[in-house]
Amino acid sequence: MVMSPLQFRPSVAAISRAACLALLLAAVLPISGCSDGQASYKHRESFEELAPFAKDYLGEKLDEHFGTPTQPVVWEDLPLRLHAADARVVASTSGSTGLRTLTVTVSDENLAIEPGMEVMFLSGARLGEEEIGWIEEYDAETGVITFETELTGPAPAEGDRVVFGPGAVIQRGRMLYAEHCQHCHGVSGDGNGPTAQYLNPLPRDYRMGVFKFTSTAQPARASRTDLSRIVENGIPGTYMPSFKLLEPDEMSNIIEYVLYLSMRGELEWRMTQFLATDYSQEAVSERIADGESRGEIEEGFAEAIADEGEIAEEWTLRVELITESWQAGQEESSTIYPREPRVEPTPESIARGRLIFLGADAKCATCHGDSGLGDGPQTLAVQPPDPLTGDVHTEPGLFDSWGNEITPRNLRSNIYRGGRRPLDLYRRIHSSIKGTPMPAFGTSLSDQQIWDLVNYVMTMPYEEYSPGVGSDPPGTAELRALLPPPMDPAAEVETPAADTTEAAADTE
Amino acid sequence: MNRFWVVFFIFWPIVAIVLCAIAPSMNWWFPGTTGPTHGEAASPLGQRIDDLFYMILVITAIVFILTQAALGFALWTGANRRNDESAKSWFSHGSHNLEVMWTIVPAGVLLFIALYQMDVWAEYRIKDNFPRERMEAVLTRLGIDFIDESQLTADGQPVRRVALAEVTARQFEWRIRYPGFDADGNLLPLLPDPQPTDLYSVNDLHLPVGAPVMIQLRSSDVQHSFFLPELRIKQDAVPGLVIPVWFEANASNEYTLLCAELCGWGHYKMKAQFVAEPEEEFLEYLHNLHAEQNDDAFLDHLLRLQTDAGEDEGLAFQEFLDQLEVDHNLAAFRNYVRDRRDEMTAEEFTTYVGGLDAETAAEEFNAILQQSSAETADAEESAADAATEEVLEE
Repeated sequence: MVMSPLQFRPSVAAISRAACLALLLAAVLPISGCSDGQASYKHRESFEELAPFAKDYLGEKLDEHFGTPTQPVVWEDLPLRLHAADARVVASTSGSTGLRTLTVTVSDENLAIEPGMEVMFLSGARLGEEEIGWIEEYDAETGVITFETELTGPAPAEGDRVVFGPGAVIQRGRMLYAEHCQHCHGVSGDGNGPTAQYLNPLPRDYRMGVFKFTSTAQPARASRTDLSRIVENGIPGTYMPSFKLLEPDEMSNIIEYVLYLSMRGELEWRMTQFLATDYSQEAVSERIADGESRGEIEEGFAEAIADEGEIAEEWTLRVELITESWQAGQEESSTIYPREPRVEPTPESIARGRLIFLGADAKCATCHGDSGLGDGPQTLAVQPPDPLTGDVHTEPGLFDSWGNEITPRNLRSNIYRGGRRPLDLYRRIHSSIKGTPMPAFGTSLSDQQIWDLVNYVMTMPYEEYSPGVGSDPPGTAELRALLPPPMDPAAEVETPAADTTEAAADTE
Repeated sequence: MNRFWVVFFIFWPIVAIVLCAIAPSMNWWFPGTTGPTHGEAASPLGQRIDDLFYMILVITAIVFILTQAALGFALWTGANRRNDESAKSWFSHGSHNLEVMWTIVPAGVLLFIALYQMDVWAEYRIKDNFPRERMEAVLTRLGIDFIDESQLTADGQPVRRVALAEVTARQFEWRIRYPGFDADGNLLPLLPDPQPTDLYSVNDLHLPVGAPVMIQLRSSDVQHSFFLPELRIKQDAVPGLVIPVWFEANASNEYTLLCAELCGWGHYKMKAQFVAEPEEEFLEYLHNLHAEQNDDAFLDHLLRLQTDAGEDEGLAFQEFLDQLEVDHNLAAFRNYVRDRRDEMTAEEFTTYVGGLDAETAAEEFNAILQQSSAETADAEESAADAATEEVLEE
């Protein structure tokens, strides 16, 4: 594990520009007032309910691995593109006083390698050397780097890992995040920035590692492409605007920083959950009431956080789990592609889709309503506990994993938050909208059925209202006759799909 | 000391005049100086608007220089006058002739400007003047049947749907709706209500260059303003109204589209691009949008079958077919190939199935075509048989 606090090396131009700004601002500052500019991460509520010693432990652990928003720590264990470029040493030459040039093969170039970038050795003899090398010249064709000043100390061997601009991606991502995202999504990525209070739906809280609109399978994480698609196109029907004019590298820097915040938040969340069982203020006072002394509890805690202790192990495990699940989400095999081409949107296909929508297998209408207006009976029912967080809801209504009450999509509004391509709708149906009660139908419906459903949903904004039998599209009665009869005669009285819609139509 | 103050007060107007004079050459000027147009208006109308601006600048400059010179003269003579207490002051106040002069001359100048600019204003804003013919010529070249016989205007004429895009401003982005293509690939006219064929984009407005084009401007929340600084076009978007806006870009470029009405805390985010491009490129852009919005990613599935099997080798053709059979979509694949027989070549076929040389690929390709058309024929035949049987049974 290698960690390096970020370092700054402003160029001369930047300094003079800053000086100009300072001159201009000098007159304004005394009037407007100004904080010291030190942002800090906010902890979640359950963190604050931990016993003080547990809070100290976790807070310090997080600071050690993630730093503060303005002084981020680059933690090599995270599956992120952290550095401007990653490379291996091929050869090096020495000048009169030390290391002069370096020949490298670049494996990952996240940002263009530029003069003035820091060079850091992450393995071999130069690992941990205090003297910092700066690039004076870089020849992309030959891979030769010339240092501004020659480096004393041991020479690197072939195969040593070297990075350029360590943490530069996170550093730039942080600046861009602050400029474009932070006022809604918050410094900690908790979806509670200063402007969030004006918004409905609320901005995404990244700290559970869950993003709603993805192209990956139901249990998998979002891929980077999914996130950049959302940043590029925005989410229609919400306050997330499109950032189409960002440069590609700006986009990827923001995405990396969002992932960084998400990983930090998730680690905090999981560890808090783990600690809360034994070391929340409430649990500690209960244990004291049961006869344990405070000293014993603290002693036990000290043991658990020591090497190979229970809590230390949990930390390692969580880091591994988070790392692996994010890595798995980026694998090409996690992406969902239809295994059959889209069924032509013929009237027959649309009618079949409509039957699936109203039918008892997929039960779409129980949430989205018979007319697709998002007013199905489940919106008035008390829901089971959230599968992700385990939160219990006593109030009727649908809730997402963030605990916010949500409504099923009105499918007639012609607004598709996760994208309006048939493929997007296919993926919504196939692998759900993550963190919401929308289920995944990838295993219960065939590809053909999903495409029929997609075809129907895509015609809904243009369909006449009132879905009773009276307004059935031509051919529906024949198709309805093809539906298998209900198995149990008793069930026929209670919930036969076709009859319910007829009854609904009758009451209308 | 008196003379120092005279010089001091005359110095600043001179600085102002010098700065104004060098401003255009230093690009301290019209909007878009850093853009592709370097501050020049990018539309014929914009150039005329700039001409008006220059004319007003010249008039104000002359007046400014004359008044500053008069002021300087008054100060200079005052400074040179000796401090003679017996000398009598001279009052200019109450001069009837002077007052008539400085009322009539500015009034005349203002009246001239008011009359002179009416032409430009009318060209842009008066309905009768809008360049309908040139606009419709673009639509004809794009192949749009824009005359809607099904709806009549108040005077009994069919409605002419000349807009090429609907731009909806919302907090804080520009959502754009283009007309789509019909089944034969002809571009449809843009109807006021969304259609299933419509194409959508956000923050990226593409329109033909070199001819007037029209958009329908709407707002879905608060008041915004559609501002193309380089084209000198600005029009408020008002909730509840659909406002036609026309403009003409005279060079293919990427221009800036901004919101010019403080619309909320994210007002500064409302930046988009307006791409003026030749008609063929515009059509191609719409075709790409159409392809993207109808992509079912089935080909990606086929390609992944190959990649999953190994980067170099891929699946042999028979393995590939077996795999599809396991997935129960061999028939779907055959239909897919058959449906695309006009667009797909044997070479393209190999990229999806992999592991074939050109000759075998061509053979297999044709085999699939024949096989699937034979299957269809069989299916049709059996359907026909069933129908005759039914008839016979009856």
